Amino acid sequence: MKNNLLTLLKYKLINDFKLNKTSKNHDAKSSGDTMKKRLRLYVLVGAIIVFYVWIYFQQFYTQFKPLGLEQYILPIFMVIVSLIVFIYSIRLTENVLFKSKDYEMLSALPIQPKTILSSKLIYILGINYFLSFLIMLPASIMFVAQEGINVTYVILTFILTFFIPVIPIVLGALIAMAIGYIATKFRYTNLVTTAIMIIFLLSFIFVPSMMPDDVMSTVTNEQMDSYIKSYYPAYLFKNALQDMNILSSTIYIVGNILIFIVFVTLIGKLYNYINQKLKEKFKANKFRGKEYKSSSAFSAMLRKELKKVFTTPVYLLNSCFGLFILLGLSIFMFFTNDIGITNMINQLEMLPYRESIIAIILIFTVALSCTTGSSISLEGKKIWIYKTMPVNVNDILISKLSTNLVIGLPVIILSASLLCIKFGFTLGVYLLLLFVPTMFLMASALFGLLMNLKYPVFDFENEVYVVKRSLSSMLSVLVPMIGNIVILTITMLLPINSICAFLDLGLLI
Amino acid sequence: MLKISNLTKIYKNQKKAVDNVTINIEPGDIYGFIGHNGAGKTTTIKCIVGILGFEEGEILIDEMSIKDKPIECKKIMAYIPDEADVYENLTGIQYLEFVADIYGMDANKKRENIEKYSQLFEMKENLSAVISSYSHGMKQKLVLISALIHEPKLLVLDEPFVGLDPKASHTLKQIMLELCKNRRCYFLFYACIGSGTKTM
Repeated sequence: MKNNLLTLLKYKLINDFKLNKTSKNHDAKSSGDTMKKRLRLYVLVGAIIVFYVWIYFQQFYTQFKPLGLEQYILPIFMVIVSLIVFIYSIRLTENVLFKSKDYEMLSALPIQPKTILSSKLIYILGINYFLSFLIMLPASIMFVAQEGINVTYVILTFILTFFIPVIPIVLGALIAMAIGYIATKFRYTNLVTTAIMIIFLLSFIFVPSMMPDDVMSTVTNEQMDSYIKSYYPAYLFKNALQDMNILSSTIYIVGNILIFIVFVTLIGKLYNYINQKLKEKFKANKFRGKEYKSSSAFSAMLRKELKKVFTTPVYLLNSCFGLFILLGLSIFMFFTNDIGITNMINQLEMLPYRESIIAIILIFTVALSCTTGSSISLEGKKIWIYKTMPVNVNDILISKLSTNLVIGLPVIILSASLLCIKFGFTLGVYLLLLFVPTMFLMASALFGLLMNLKYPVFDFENEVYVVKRSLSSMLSVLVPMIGNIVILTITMLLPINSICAFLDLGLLI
Repeated sequence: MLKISNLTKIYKNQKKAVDNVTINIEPGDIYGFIGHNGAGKTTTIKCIVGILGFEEGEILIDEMSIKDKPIECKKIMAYIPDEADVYENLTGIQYLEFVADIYGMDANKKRENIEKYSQLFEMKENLSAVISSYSHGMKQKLVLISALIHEPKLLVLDEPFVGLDPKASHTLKQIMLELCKNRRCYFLFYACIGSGTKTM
């Protein structure tokens, strides 16, 4: 098993990270250039994350130090990392474990299912280490610098960080498996998967905001302990670091290893069954004819694009995540008064501030929604269909742009309407809140399309890579987001403190 | 030998994709599995090689059940899918080494067989190129080589002649006949009439 595991890992890494293309003669120049660009982007993303870690660390430190709670800072970072890894892993495990293109090839080879499963889990762990270390290491160095503790502390944090992603990945994989299993019971598997994922993620985002606001105001050591115990590994992590506690470190490390082994052993037995069930299709009933209608080439392409978005869970969730948050947030705020963000907005006495907050929510969530950043890449090897069709290239591109609009516009209209009714905005503000986010939606779609035309990826192993990790999809979300932050910063620096300045500047840019 | 008894595969909505299929293939046999589109040929093949499970019946390979001893069964057989879906970013030689390593081949046998079959299919010069740069036929040849190098007793081929040039088709047929001559090997394949089946 051990040898097969190493063999699988070795060739999967060469394949997925395209190591042949970077190290050998093959298309050396173009692929090397793309690799350099991707590397630069990773460095940029890394720098942004480290910058935010620094900001959050400072905030935590200035608040926690006077209360004598500074030992909870790194465990809090650990919980944050765990949450991110958990959410990310649901989709990643779903695609790497259960919808992988290499399943048939590997399952026809004499390899134990648990070996295949282990190789894939180690691969998922590896991807998550990037994020875990990027957050935990700078945070621990900042902590050591502030507290003047020795370097052993950083080394221990480094060792413990290796195990942070284990439990979130196992939980994520279990949820992905449960979603996959439930979906196999239905005819439209992908739609059911998408619906469950959306409900799960939205409840994950909004349920904590229903908690009372004064949780942190009277916090003590004992209370912090009881909060952090709700995720027990974080409590062990805190104890392990607090006094360099060997027992807590050992329980934490051995516990994680045991969980991983038990998970691989148990799920190894179900791995083939779930994959086989997911691959099964409903055998269609006999076609009994239908009424045919003619439609234009554009509407045919638009229908095809919409179908692609709504039947590919990872695509829908990634490209429309901002819209789901906006819709969920609007409905939440419409029906609540004195909890979470609704309470916060209600407490803003001046109307322009409320309008500004709502405008920022609308624009930031819309900027996160871009179906076009990977829509060309997702054609994959089927790109020949479009290339050989007797249609103008512009029509194809416009159909892809329109997809973003068709999905986003109803959400903007509904959300703006609900929020304007709730907070009693004027008709002028309502129209502005409709018009400007729509412009942003179109602009981000156009930008995404341009990025995808510039950096397309057609030979991918699974759609997760294109949707989440391709250069164009990352740029199509990052650049509008950074743009929005720049606009917001400029607006705040300007003497005019109104929604109009923000919106006008946004429109202008 | 390959023995399929009363194989039934039922899809999610209780429709039968394969209904009560029984086949016996002896060493030295070349068994053509022919039927109309959607008849369930590929589903049957995927059940044999362990990609799909099945509800009723039994599949025995060399007296071993694919359900009870999947690894042992897979060790003595090779599967060639209708579409050569392989790791596109590996080079040809890396893919062949990957398969050889999974089957636990020793270095000498690996080198000998890779040399032999890559020469027979005129692929030797292309083995250092990345698979994504291959044509459909070249990928098909690579998958054929990967199936032959570990000397399986049973070869299960799904539309093996599609995409192959006439010379490679002829080579494959010669190899199949050669392997069957001494009852060393047996085949199950499905193909469309006109794409090589007739001449087999």
